[in-house]
Amino acid sequence: MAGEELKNSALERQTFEPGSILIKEGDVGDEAYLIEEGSVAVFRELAGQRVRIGRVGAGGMIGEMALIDSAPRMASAVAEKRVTVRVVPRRVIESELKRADPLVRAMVTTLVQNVRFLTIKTLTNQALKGGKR
Amino acid sequence: MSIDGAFRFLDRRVYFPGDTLIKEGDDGSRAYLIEDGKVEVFRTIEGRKVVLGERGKGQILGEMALIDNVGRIASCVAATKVTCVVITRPEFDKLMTRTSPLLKGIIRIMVANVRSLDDLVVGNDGPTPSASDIPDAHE
Repeated sequence: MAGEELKNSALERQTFEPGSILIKEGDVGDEAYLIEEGSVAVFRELAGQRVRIGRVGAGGMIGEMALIDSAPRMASAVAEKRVTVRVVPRRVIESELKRADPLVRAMVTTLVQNVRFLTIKTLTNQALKGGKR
Repeated sequence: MSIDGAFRFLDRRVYFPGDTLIKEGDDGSRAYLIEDGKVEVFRTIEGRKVVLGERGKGQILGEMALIDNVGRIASCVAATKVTCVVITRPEFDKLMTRTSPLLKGIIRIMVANVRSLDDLVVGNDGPTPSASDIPDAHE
């Protein structure tokens, strides 16, 4: 999705084997991952059960929100297949946000709030309808 | 957030409770930075109002259509008296050309995520929801 804009950057590359945890719900996040190859399953614990939120594949990014608003990880991400990612450290995003126009900063934080709000709303709806899986 | 410097000369508007800032189905040609007040965001599905959220002071409204050129997918109506700065498409585009590729990429990803989550919320609130209606959110 946004891979085109990011793939030529000098960010460190890392590989995860199937089943490895890239992001753990509740943790403090210091890195985001741009997925170059493979895919990760994203899920959240709800009443002791894993509720799958979705899958992110090549060109997608995970973990960026915790770097923007410093809130704990709201979901876990596990490698489905072997996954190659580019690692985006917190300081990179922080320094880019600092340099960005205030309006761009407002937009980024608004979007993070919306994604968090809508994720919780989706999961709550899902749980209310008995749609856990 | 200080907006005094950047937006001193921009178009500032006041809306009263019930006024529509953005109408579902319209083309998006501007975004709004809310300086004061609250705006309700909702979609109308088969005549039923499905609330997607609320935005307030310091938040932006209507930016998604300017980023991905998809038309307005939700309506935004002032819930209180709202003061906002209007950001036109040329101003917005200029701003984005000055934005780093990493931030632009993150913004695009989050806009896509908000759109698919909006669909899930609307789908789940709909008349015939089921767990199988929930696709992979990022595809």
